[in-house]
Amino acid sequence: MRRLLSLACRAFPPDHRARRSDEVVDTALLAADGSALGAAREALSLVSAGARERLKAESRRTLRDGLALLVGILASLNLAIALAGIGLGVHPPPPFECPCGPRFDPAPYVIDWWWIAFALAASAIVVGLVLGNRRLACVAALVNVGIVGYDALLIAPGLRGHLNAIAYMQGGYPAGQEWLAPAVVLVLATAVTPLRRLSLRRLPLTLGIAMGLVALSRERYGFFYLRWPLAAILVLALAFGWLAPRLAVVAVGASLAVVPYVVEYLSVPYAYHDPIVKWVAAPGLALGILLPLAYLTRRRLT
Amino acid sequence: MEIRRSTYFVLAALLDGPLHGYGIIRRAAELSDGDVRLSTGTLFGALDRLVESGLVEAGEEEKVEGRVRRAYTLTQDGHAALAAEAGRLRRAAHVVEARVARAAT
Repeated sequence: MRRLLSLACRAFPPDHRARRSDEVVDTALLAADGSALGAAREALSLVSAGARERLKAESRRTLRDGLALLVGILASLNLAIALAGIGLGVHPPPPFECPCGPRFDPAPYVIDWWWIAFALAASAIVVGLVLGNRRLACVAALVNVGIVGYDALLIAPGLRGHLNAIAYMQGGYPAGQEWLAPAVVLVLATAVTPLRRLSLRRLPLTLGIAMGLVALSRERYGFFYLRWPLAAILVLALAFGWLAPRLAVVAVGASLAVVPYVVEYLSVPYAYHDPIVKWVAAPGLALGILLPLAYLTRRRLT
Repeated sequence: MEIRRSTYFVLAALLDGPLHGYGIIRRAAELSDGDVRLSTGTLFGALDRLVESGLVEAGEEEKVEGRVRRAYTLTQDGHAALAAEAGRLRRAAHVVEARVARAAT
């Protein structure tokens, strides 16, 4: 019972006394009066109270907290893309067969110096952020944007880019040009975010999240990998951005990061473009930038 | 300031002197004839708000029989707020009771 109630107390923000002291758990144990049903009722009430406290704490967050979250999300995704690329090189999926058109022959795919450098830079960004080492995080983010930019601008136009080779095999994988903008946003956000040293437990946690994304990236069309999480973030930010400024900042950053992708999607007349996506993409993106910005501006003014 | 029913009984429980968390739960149930059954989440949510607004004062943490607890005391402002709320409820009840009595006669 104690374990259940302690677990329920984890719903409270980390600095709340329900997390720092046994007072709340001990009171809940007495209130449960030794009954399993009573303990479940108390646990439920603690989860509900904890969620309310979190929401209250969330509304007190600053724009800088939002930038820190944005940097964390982009750094985790960047690492996931690097690891997914290496994973696909070791265990490639079957060749891409398009039932509605000609077969694509992906460029020869090998794990070369570029993939290793990309994975090292992505790991260094995460390590720098966790250690709160601004110099390491910024330098690694700059190297990262250089590596992605080299692939996107110098190699990808000849359809031989590293990310492009995977994008042909896995529908949702970002091609070189598409990941360049998020990499640039990552550099800018890392440069202006006030960093502080985090618990070293964040390292295996981030690696776990990245590996989860790598597993999701094996899905053929990759919607679970990047597009659905991004859509979920935008919807959450539009719905709760007025309450949680961190979500609003993340929505603005994520929307800016996908602007080039959406512009390219809308300007290149592929035959297989989904008409609904085509009509929703531009207004959705505009809303994803303007509405959270309005929330943030209103918050600064009041 | 409007006081919720559960918060009203938390304040009322502290009228007779300082109590710790579980003591407040039991006293609130007694005072309301078992009508108000505070869950731990509701109690500590209310206590957080009351301490923040200065109506209740939280004491130091102590360990008794292996359990951590803390005594909560009603402040002067807490007394005043509770008395004001009791008066408001009395007046609100009076409005209805007077009309019900008139209708019956």
